[in-house]
Formats: sequence, structure tokens, C-alpha cells
Amino acid sequence: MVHVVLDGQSHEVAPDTRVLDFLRTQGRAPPSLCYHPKLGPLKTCDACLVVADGQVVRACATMVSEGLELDASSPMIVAAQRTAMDRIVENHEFACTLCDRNNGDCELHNTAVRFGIKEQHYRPKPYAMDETSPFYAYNPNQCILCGRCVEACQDVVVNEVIHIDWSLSPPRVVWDQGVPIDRSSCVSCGTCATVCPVDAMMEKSMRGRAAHFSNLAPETRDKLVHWTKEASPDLEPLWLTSELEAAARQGSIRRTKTVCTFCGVGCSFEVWTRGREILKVLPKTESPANGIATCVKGKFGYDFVNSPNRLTEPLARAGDRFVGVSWDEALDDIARRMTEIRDRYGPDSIGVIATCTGTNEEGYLTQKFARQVLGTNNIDNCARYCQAPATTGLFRTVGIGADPGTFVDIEQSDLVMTIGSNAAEAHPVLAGRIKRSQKLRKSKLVVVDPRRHELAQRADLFLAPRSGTDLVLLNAVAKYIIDQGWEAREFIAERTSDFAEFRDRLARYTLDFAEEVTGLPRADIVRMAEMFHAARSACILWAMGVTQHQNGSDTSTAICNLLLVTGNFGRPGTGGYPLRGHCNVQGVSDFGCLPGFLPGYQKIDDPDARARIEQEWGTPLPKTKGLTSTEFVDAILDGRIRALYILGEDKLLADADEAKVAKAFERLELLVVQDLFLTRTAEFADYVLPAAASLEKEGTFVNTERRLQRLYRAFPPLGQARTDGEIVTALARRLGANWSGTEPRAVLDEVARVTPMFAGASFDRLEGFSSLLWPIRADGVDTPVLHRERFNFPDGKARFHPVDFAPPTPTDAAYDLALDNGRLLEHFHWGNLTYEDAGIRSKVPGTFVEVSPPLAAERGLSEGDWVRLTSEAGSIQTRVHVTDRVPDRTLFLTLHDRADGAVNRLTRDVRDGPTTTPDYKGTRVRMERLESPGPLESPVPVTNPRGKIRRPQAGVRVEDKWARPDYRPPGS
Amino acid sequence: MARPIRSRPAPSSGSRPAALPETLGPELDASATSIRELLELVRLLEERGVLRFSSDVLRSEDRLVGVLTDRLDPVSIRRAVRNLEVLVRTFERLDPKTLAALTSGVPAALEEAHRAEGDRPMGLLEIATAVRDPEVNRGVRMVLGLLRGIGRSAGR
Ligand code: SF4
Ligand code: SF4
Ligand code: SF4
Ligand code: FES
Repeated sequence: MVHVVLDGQSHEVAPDTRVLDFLRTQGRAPPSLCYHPKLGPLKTCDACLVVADGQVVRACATMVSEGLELDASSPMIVAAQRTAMDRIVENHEFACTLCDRNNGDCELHNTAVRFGIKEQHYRPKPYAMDETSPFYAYNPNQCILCGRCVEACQDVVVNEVIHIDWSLSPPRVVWDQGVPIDRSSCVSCGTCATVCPVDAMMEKSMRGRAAHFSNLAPETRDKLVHWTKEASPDLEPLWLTSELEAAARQGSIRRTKTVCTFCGVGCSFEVWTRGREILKVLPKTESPANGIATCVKGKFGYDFVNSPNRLTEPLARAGDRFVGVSWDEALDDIARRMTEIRDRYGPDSIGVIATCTGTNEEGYLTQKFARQVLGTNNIDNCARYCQAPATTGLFRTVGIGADPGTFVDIEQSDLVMTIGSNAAEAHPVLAGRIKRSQKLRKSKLVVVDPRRHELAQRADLFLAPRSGTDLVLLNAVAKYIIDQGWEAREFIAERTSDFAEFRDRLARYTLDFAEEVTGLPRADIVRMAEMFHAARSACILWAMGVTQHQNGSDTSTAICNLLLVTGNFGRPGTGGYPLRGHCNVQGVSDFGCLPGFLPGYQKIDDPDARARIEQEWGTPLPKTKGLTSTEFVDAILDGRIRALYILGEDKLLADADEAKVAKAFERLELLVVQDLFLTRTAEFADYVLPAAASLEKEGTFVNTERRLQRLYRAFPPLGQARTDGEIVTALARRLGANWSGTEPRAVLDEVARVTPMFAGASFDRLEGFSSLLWPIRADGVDTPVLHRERFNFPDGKARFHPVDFAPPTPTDAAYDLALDNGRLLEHFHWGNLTYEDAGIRSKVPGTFVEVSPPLAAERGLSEGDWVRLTSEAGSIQTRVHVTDRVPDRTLFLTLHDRADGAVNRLTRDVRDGPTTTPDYKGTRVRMERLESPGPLESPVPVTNPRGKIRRPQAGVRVEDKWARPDYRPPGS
Repeated sequence: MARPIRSRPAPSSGSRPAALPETLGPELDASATSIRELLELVRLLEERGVLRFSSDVLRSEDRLVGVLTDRLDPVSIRRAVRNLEVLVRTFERLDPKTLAALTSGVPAALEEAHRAEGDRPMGLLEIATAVRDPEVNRGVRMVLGLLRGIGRSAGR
């Protein structure tokens, strides 16, 4: 503690406190407009002036120190603050009653009112509003040039698009090299709009909708502002009317905390709604995983919730068409047919797939339905398609199949390596943290990937090994490190077992061998080893590029081995992080939707766990391990499975080899699909049940960090749609289960009773933006970093688990090109949700294949050409995008297609051994040019950010403002 | 053998907000024109934010009272009221065509404003009373009355 003197009185203050924050606690804060806790002091507004030890300083940029004497309110300093405020308000016309930003949280309005600003000399700027983005608009005439948007774009999300051009008169925010927003590299993350203290950078969804009277033609609005001013040039009446009007808005605007429904980063935010209308998504400083950041999907991608294409009533198959039926009819009939099938063929003739976009509580009820009501362990979820191999790698080596730390650890690490992950598009907010750490902390970034994607372009070392050979690279690096004597000896001795065997099994992975198999230059392999050696802490992040191979589990294991060799587990800033793809794929796995595990990864043959659950449920549990979701397909084809109940999974599109899955679906005696839309899978269903969206329900999600977060209901389900939990419960009761206490809060309490890992989880502890990382002790203490004291094995030691390289199953030489495939930033999987959004559609209207310039030249292909890709499994048609992001003989197909361009018409049903996850990424194809039906058109519209030139700089560059001839220093 | 079905039926009623029916039933058909005009007026009021404003004012009365009690300064309230008057009056001048329906409500609203002086005090009016400034008092009543008048003319 240090002592600070304010108005002659001494106060004890924590040493790392900003003077501004201290003054706020005393209710004596000066005005402040550019400072934001997530951005730090930008020093652009000069409003927060105080006198500290006789010097005029900015309170936001000054830390307290022992004996510091402060004056925040003498007439001299107040006059200085007022001058600064006058200069700020010259830039912004107060029309608060008509302003959509005035919802009680406009920082300029509030500051001006609190500070008693009575008049303004507004000076319009000679720039037009930029409304070219479908998502947000920039109004230079309202911009106070605080630079928050710039700081956020440059140094928080590190998209490096905007800057303030201080050399202009007057200055303004500029995109890239001075282009309209929709011709720039802007990825539409919306973080600039989130942090703007005024209405200058604002979500278009707010415009004309938040204020009562803002939906006016611009001329009318201008006239109105003019008349209001005429009636009273003094601002005081405006303050009161606008505050009354803003208070009245709260009568119909609702702010609901929720968690993003798309990827596994787990961004949380408030969603502002009026009725069912979504006004905006607002991430908060206290959002634990993302702070103020989002990506375009989370910030602007919620149109699907109110889409006219949503299912709003249960549908039943009647011959060759669907007819609408009542819930009673649908549920009665489903229950009757499920009972018949179970009685005739046994409980294991039914398979259940839980949704990884549902809540944990719904996941728990779904596996309870399978186990208790149907009597089968045939319960799985979409982790089977993506992350099961990563989980296996972690289970084998450290005993817990989940991310060992948090995003803070990744951001604090000296070295981050991503392998088989395009995080900047698939996990954009996490990628922002990695980019930030590299930019501001100078941490190192290694990227291993076939494609030169954004992180690869930014990497300190970028390696593109041959497809499927990552394991060889990882083993070779581990061997080289050991050969140099760089292994973490003390850590290995004290905290691991089986090192000797591991070391011996590496003998084959010499640099020569690695060079030959991976195609990488040995110098790069050595460089990677050196970078691990030099780093005090390292994290490795991986995703589908590792897991969706025949050796996905083994490569994941090799990653963990390398981290153990270098001592990078069990400390802050270290660990191996599989990046989960869906918002709650981690949670539904954690809550038991797996064929071999009960909730909390309790083995199905663990007698204690079985006893606990059997006692709670009052029924015996099925004993045999169930089938996985990919095995369901085989089991349908050979008659073991007769019925499937699929919640929120477009399995037809998600499994490898679409034709095989379609054949299986056609064989089913009963298919029940529960979803928001009539998906391709639902087309095969006997019953389609309309499900609720995340904004329409209560519950919790677990993000990729193991973080439990609550979501609250913003509005009721559309039409007759119901939550997955309500539907499963209604079905369970019709099948004779005596279920009560199935509302989300009670379900989480039940989970806490039967699952030691969640012993202390409860809705109360997760109130608002609070979150907990499992395991959660009964007293509510959670675990941000795993393995600190011991690893999850009986002896407490991590285990080296040697893994060997086996070349992938060969493909006919006629298929001469490797086909990589994956997500784009803007879309989510098959696009069932994101194609419903006009803005997103305008950025990425459809799927395409990336072809390298040399290959395009060799095959006579131009941008926009149509091609047919053919594999052993099938063929598709799509458009060509020529780009050097892909290496010469590798294609990259975006996976956002539901029909003729769907990637899984090409993938073979070859699987990773331990997990049965398909080898989606090991596909090989041949490519033929097709005659184009019309003129060639690029599949990447000009409004798409790809290929545009970013404009990086360090923050807002306030020094350039200070260098302007018209700049008057604070207090002058 | 379940073949895929590509389309879904048009949702049955109850799932989606129904469009205005062609006929309103024998008793109502007589006044169909006025009902349609009324709905059009409601739509206009909604479009212009007036409907929402009126209902929001009613829903947020406590918050409005809070804003006012925070600054019980008769002078500023008087000015604020003038400011509001300007705002509301300008609706007359906005867009003569589309607002014809709305403006026809204004005379009724002003009438209502005068009547409101005799009404049982509401929360907001209590504030006006507390200020004990006849002009402010009249102003607040006028604004509230005006809103109610607009609402009433919509309901007529
Ligand atoms: S990328 Fe675009 S939307 Fe995101 S902060 Fe930068 S300018 Fe704003
Ligand atoms: S647009 Fe940017 S610089 Fe302008 S007021 Fe908003 S945050 Fe500040
Ligand atoms: S999709 Fe992922 S990164 Fe984007 S807002 Fe949602 S959780 Fe965050
Ligand atoms: S808040 Fe300190 S300079 Fe802007």
C-alpha cells in the first residue's frame, strides 16, 4: 500500500493503481473519454487532467506513488479540464434525444452532463459518413477522435485495419490506405464499435431502432435538431429531455447476458433486444474469455434466430412430404415407435447424438435419456468429428483430456506454437490474444500448417510439412532437443514417468528421416527445437489439421510428449491446448455425452461413479460401452442400429462419405431430428422437432478453456419451438420415466451431486459474467491451471507415451492433389446459421476451392472458373479462387456448403484408430476444369477482406497528434 | 426406406403472426374501413416511434421519476418541457403525407392535456406538483396528456 494525499487527506491505495481509478473510488474523478480499462491510457482526450505533486498530469496515465499529493478540483485544474472538454465537444453534435447511442451509457453524454457542459461550438467535419459495411457505420461528424477504436483494432484484436490520420485537417479514422470500409481488410469483428464512447462508430442494427424518434429521414432529423437548438441554445434542457427519453427506452430494451453460440472460444456478451428484435451484441470488460472482443459471427451473426426459415412446429413424414403436427402427436408417436424398436431389438438398437450447441444441462439430460430411459450407452456428440483424438493424446500423457490452462496462459507464454489450426479464422478472438502477445510482448510464434494463413504470415517460423506427417516433425524435434541435452531434466525426473523408453523409441526420428518424410528443410526443424529451448514457457495449440488424420490421436500424443520433454505442463503460461470448435462441444463431453464415459469423465465401469448415479436415478446403468457416432453409420448398415435420435447435428454433412451416410439414413426404421432448421439430415427424418436457439434458453456452456459460463433467456422460443431440454424431458416422460427437476438450475445441482469434477458448480456461483473452470471443488474453488501439483494418474506423474509414424492408407495415384479443407472466418460449418445473415452472405456468398498460382497456370484455370473435384468417394463442383495461401499441389476447400460443393462427398470413411474420428484431412482428389455457365466471377467478392493490405501501427500514435501545429498541450 | 424430403409445409397458423384476414367477421365487417385505417394509424405511430414511446413512458415511469428527482430544479424542468414540446410539435411538420393520421390526433391530445389537470396525480405528476411551479406543472401534464391523447386517438 502507498499513501496518497487528496485535499489534505491521506488515503491508503494499492501501489499499481491509476490515479484516475483512485479518484473514481473517491467520487472525484475528472472527466475522461479516451481511457478504457481494456485499452489502457491513450492520452488523446486530455480531459482527465489533475495536479500531482505540483505538475499537471493525465490521471489515466499516472500511477499512484508514496506521498503523492493530488488536486483534482481546484479552479485552475477544473478550468483546464473544461478547456479540454470544450475542444472535445467541438467534434460532436449533441442530439441526444434522437441518438441511438444514448441508452444511459453514452460516455460523452454522461461526462458532459456530470461536468455541467452548458454549451457547445460544434464544428462539422468535411467528411461523409461511411455506411458501406453491412454491419457498422462510421460518422466522422460525431467522432471525438479519442482513438479507442484504433487501439482496439490495432492492439487488442490486432486486425490492424484502422488508424487516425492525424495529418488530415481535421483528422479522422481511416481504413487501410484510405478506402471505404467494405473495400478494406476489415474483418467486421465490430470491436471498434463496441469501444466507441459515442455514436460515431456504431452497429447498424442500432440505427433508427434504439431511440424512440431516430428513425427519421436525415433531413428531417437535421431540421429537428435545428429547431430544438433554436428553442433553447443552452444544453441543459437537452440533457434532461434526453435523459428522460433514454430512461423511457429502458421500458422496452432488454439487456441479457449470453454466451456465443458459434465457436469454442466462449465469448460472452450482453445482447440488447426489443421484443425479438436484436439491437446489438455488446461484449463487456468483465467478459472472462474475450473482454471487449468478438468476431463477426458473435457480434453480427444472430439474424438466424428470427429467420423465416426456422422450424416453428413439429413435422411428421407423410409419404413423400412433411406435414405439421402437434407436439402431442409427434411425441406420442415417437415414444411409441422407440418403445417398439427397443422391445424388438434391444436398447442398443437405438443411438442418440447430443447437440454441442445445446447447454450442459441439456447434454446431461440427453445422456440420461439414453442411459436411464432407453438403457443404452450409444450416446455421442460432435467431438467425435473433431476433438476426440486430442482428448486421447492428453488422457494418455497427462490424464485429463482438456485444455490445461486459460487464454491468459496462452497470452503470457514466451512461445506459442499452433499446429493444424487456422485460429485467426476458426478461433478469431483467441488468435487476437496470440497476435497481441506477439506484437506487444514480443512473444514468439511458430506455425505448422499446410497453408499460409494469417497466423502463418505473422509467424516467426512457419513450417508446412507434407500432409499427415506432423508426428514425424514433432518426434524429430523432441529427439533433437534430447540429443542436445536441452530436455527439462528436473521436471522429467520429478514429474514424469517412462522417459527412458520414450527416448529410445525416438531413435528413428533423425533429422535426415524427418527431412525426407516431412519435406521440411532440416534447418527449420532445428530452428523449431531451438525456439522451444530458448522459451521459458511454451504452449502448443492444435485443431482439426492434427486430429482429422488417421494418426490424429498419435500426433496429439506427440504434441504432449514434446511439451513434457521441454517441461511445459503444470505451470502458468504452458500446456497443450486443443481448440474446441463448437460453443459447447467441451461441455456436452464433460457432461457425459460420450459412449465410454459417464458425466465428468467417470469411466462407465467405475463402481463408485455407477453407484452414485444409480442411486440418484434410481435405475441400473447399462454396462457395455456404446458405439461412437461414426460407428453408428456402420451399425445402421449392418442392422445393429434401427433408430437414431439426433439433436442439433447435421450428421449427413458432418460425417465423412456423405453417400454412405445417406444410404444408412434410408435404412433406419426411425429417425428423429431436432434442430432450428430443416437441415440436410432432417430431410431424412420421420419427425423433425423445432428446437430453441441459445438466445431462447437458460443454462451453461463450457468453453475450450474448461470455463463454465451462464446464458440467460433473451426472449422465448420462436413459434412452437422448445428447448432441447424440454423436448428430451417430454419424451422421457412419455417413455415412462418419472423425471422431475429438469429445469436448468436443478439439473446443474443434480450434476454437482453425481460428478466430483463439478461438485461446486451452481447457477448462483455463475451469476452474470462470473465463470468457473473445472474441476470445481464443493466449496466453489475452481482450477484455472491444471496439473500444478500432480498429474491425473495414481502416481501423480505424467507419462511419456511413445508413438510411431505409419504412412497413411495409400490412395490411387490418379488422385494427384491433396485436399485440405476447413472453415472460413465468416461462416460456421455448413452455414445453416450463417447463410441466414445477409451481411455475412454478402461477404462470403458460397464455397470455393483455393488453388495455387502455379497449379492454376498448369491447369489453365482462372479466378472464378468452375471445377470438378473427384475423390475415391465421390465428386463435387465448386469455383476456383487462385491464391498463394495454399502450397503448389494442395487444394483447400471451404466446408460451408450443403449440396453440390459439400466437402464430405469427397472424404473417405477412413478413421483414426483409437477414436474412430474420420481422416477428413487426408483426402486426395483430381481436378478438372468445367465450362463455366456464365462470365467468370470471383467467389471472393470485392467487399471481402481477403487479399486486402492491412495497415499495422503501434496503437493510436498520439505523438502524431501532439506534433500537429494546432495542438495545444493540456492546461494551455 | 426414408427418402429425403427437401421442402417443408407452410407453417400452420399459430406458429407465425397471421396476416390481416381478408374478412373480419359479420359484425366487424361493417366497420372494416375504420379498423383498417386504425391499424394503419397504429402502424404509422409504431413506425414513427410514438407508440413505443408512449408505452415505454408508462413502463418506465419509475425511472423517469428518478431522472426528475435527481434534478429537482424548476428552471431546468421548465426548459426541458419546452424542449419536449418542440420535439412533439415538430411531428406536425415532419412529413405531411404519412403523418396526416398522426397530426389529426394532436388537437385531441391538446384537449386531453387540459383535461389532465383535473386528473388524479400520477408519479410523474407528483413531481410536477412537488415543484410547485404552475408553469412546469402545466407543462408536464401537457406532455403526458399529449401522449395519452395520441394513444387514445389511436384506440378510438
Ligand atoms: S477489423 Fe474492422 S470491425 Fe474489427 S476493429 Fe478493425 S475496423 Fe473495426
Ligand atoms: S470512432 Fe473511434 S476515434 Fe471516433 S469517437 Fe469512436 S472510438 Fe473515438
Ligand atoms: S464465434 Fe467464437 S470467437 Fe467468434 S464471437 Fe463466437 S465465441 Fe467468440
Ligand atoms: S482519459 Fe486521460 S487523456 Fe483521455
